[in-house]
Amino acid sequence: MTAPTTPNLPLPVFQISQKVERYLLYDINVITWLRKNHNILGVLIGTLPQIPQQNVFLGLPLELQPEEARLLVESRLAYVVNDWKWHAKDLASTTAEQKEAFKADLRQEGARIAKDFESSKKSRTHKALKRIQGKTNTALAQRSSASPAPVEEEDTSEESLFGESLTRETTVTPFPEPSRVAEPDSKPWTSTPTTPYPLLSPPPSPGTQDLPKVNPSSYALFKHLHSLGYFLSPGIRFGCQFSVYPGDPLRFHSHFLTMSAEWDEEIDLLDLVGGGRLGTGVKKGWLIGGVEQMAQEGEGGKDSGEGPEEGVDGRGRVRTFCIEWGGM
Amino acid sequence: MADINEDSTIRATPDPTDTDLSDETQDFRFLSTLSQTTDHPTLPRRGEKDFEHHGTLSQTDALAASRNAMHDALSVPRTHNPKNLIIGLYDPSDDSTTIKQPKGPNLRTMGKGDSQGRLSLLPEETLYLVERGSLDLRWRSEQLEGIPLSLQAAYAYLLGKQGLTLERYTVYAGLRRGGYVVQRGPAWYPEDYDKDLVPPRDSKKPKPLGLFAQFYKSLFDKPLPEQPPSGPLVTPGFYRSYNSIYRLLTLIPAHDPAVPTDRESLRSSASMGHPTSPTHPRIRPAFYVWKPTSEFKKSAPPPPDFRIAVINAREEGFPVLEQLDDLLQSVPYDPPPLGSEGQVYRRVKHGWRNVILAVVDQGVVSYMRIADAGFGKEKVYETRGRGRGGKRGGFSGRGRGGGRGRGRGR
Repeated sequence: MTAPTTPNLPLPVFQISQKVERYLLYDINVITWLRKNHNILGVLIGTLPQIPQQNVFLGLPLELQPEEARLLVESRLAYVVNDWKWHAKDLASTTAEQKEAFKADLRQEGARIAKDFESSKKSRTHKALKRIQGKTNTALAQRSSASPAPVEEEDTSEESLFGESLTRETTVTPFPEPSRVAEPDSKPWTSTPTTPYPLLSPPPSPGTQDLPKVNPSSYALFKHLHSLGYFLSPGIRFGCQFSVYPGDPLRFHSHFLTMSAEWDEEIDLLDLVGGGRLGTGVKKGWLIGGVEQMAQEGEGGKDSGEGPEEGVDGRGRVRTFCIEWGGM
Repeated sequence: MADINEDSTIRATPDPTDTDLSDETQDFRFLSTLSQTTDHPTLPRRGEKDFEHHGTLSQTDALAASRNAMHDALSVPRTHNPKNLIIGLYDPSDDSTTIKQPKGPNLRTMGKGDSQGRLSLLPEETLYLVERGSLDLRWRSEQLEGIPLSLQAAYAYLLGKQGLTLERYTVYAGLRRGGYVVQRGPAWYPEDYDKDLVPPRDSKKPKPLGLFAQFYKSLFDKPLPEQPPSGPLVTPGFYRSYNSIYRLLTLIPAHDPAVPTDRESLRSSASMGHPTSPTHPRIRPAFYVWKPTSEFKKSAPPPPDFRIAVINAREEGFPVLEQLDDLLQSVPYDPPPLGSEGQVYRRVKHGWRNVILAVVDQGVVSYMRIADAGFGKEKVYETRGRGRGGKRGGFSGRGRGGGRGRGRGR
C-alpha cells in the first residue's frame, strides 16, 4: 500500500538466455518504483495467480522493451544479468545453512498462511451461521414453518480468501462438524516465491558491460520523448512503434502514435496518409521523428527551434513532426 | 459523397461492446470486481481515463489509488493449499519436469503420462502452471532437495530450452488463460518440416447431372470454340448465355487453391528471396489450438480448431509470399463449408486453407488470420444470373455442379 521504497541501485535487469535478448523484472517494488520515478512501463506478461483465467489483467514478470533496458543501463540505474548463468553459479555455491534457513522461512510462512486461511474460514462460517440463524429467527417469529434458505449458503461460499475459488471446492456447511473445529493445526501450506531472494543474494554489478542492443533510430526517438516526461509502450495495437502517453497509462489516454525515421529517409506518401488517418481515427496524433543530421560545418547557431539539445550519439537533436488527417 | 461517409465513420465513437479490454492498460482498481464474482465473472467496464494532467488532487489521488491497486494485485503470493497440492520435480540436467501424482483439471489437457501414472510436462506447460500458482515446482537434485523454484528461476531455466522462446511462451500462456487447449505444432521440429505437407484432397467429382439438367446444359453451355491466336476474344457466333462469353474473356490465369503450387520451383526462385534463407525463414504453426470441450483427449487429439504461427514483430518482417505459401501448403486443405455456395463473402473469408499469425511485440500479441481466399474460384458471373429465390438446387445445371465440383470450368 505504501509508496515503494527506493531499491538498491543500480538494480539488476534479468536477461533470458535466448538468441535475441529479452529483459525481465520480477520484483514488484522495483517495478512500481521505476514506473513512478522513471516513467518506465514495460509490459506485464505473466498470469495473475489470484485470477488466472483472463487476459485483461496480467501479472509478473514484467518484460522491458529493449529501449527501456538500454535507457536504464545507460543512466546507470541498472545492469543486465544473465539470469540462467547467475542462477546456475549461485545455486551451486549455496551452503547447507542457507538452504536450511530458506526452508525454515518457507515453512514458517506456510504455517502462517494456513492459520490465516483457517481463521478466515472459521469467521466466514461463523458469519454465515449467524446470518442463517438471524433469518430463521425472523422467519420463525413471523411464521413457524420457515427453514434456512439454501440460497444464502451458496452466497457465502462464493467469497474466497485467495480468489482461487474457480478451482477450489468451497463448501461452507451450515453447521460446523465437530471434528473440523477441534482440529487445532492444519498442515502448512507451501508457496512459490517470486524471486530467488533470500536464498541467493542479488547478483553483483559487473561494472562496465555491453549496452542492450536497440534500433538506433527508434531508440533516439524513444529517449527524446522519454526525456520530455512521456510514457512509452509498445505500439503494435495501433500499428506504430510506440504509443506515447502524457502520464501513467493507468490514468491517461495516449496522445501520439510514433514512428521513427532516419533524417534523409524517403518516406512513402501513402504511409503518411495512412498513419495520419489512423492516428486521427483513434483521436491521437501520428508522430514521426528522427535525429536531425547536422550540416557538416558552421551551421551551429542557425537553429531557430527551442535551442539545441544534447545530441544522441553525438549526431544531433531529435526533431518530431505530428501529422493529422485534415479530412477536408 | 464517399468522403462524407468516411468522415462519419471516423468521428463516430467506437461501439463499447466492440472494444477489447485487453487492448489498453486497465485500471487495476477494477480487478476486485473480477475476483469477487465467481459464478458470473463479468469483466470490468473501461475505467474513465483523462486526456492530460490538470493538476488536481483528485487526479493525483486517482492515479495513486490505481498504482496501489496494481502494486497490491501483483504482490499476491502463489500459495498452495495442501489439500490440492501438486508437486512437480524439475531436473536441471535434462530440463524435464515430472509430476508423480497428477490431478486437477489443468493437467487433463497437459503433459504426457507414462505407465506408472507419472506425468512429464513440456517447459511451457511447467512454466504456465507455476505462473498461475497451480504447481509447486521443486528442484530434483541432491543439493537442492525440497527447495522450490522461484518464479524467476522457472523463467530462467525453462525459457530458451527446447525451442521455447519468450514470444512462443507469451502466446501459449495467453491462449491458455483464454481457456483454450494448446499443444505444440510442427514449428518446434524444423527437421520434419516437409513431412507435414498436406496435398489437397482430390476434389470430388461433380455429381452426375439429371436428365433434364443435361439437356438444359447442352442447350446453353456450348463447348468453348477455339480462339484464333490473333482474333477477337469472342468469336462471332451464336451464344445463348453470357457465361460462355465471360468464360472466353477469362484471360488472366488465377491461382487455384485446390492445386498445390509447385514447391520445387518456388524454393529455387531467387526473385523474392529463398524461403529457407536467414532473412525469410520457413514458418510453421507453433501451436495447435482447440476450443475447450470436455471430450478432448490429449493422447488422441481431434483435428485442431486453429493453427497458430508465432512471429516476432521486432525481428521479423511480415512473411513474404513464398513464406506464406509454404506455410499454407503445410496446413490441411479446408475448403469453404458445403452449403455456402453463392455466398461469396463467406467463402472468400473462410478460404481454402487458413492459419493464424500471432505477432508478438514485446509481450503484446496481435492475432491475424491468413487464408488462401481463392478469389479466382468465385466466379461472379455465375452467381449473378441466378434467380432471386434459387439458392441452390434446381439450377445446378449451369456449369456449377455441386459443392467442390466447381473447379471444372477451368
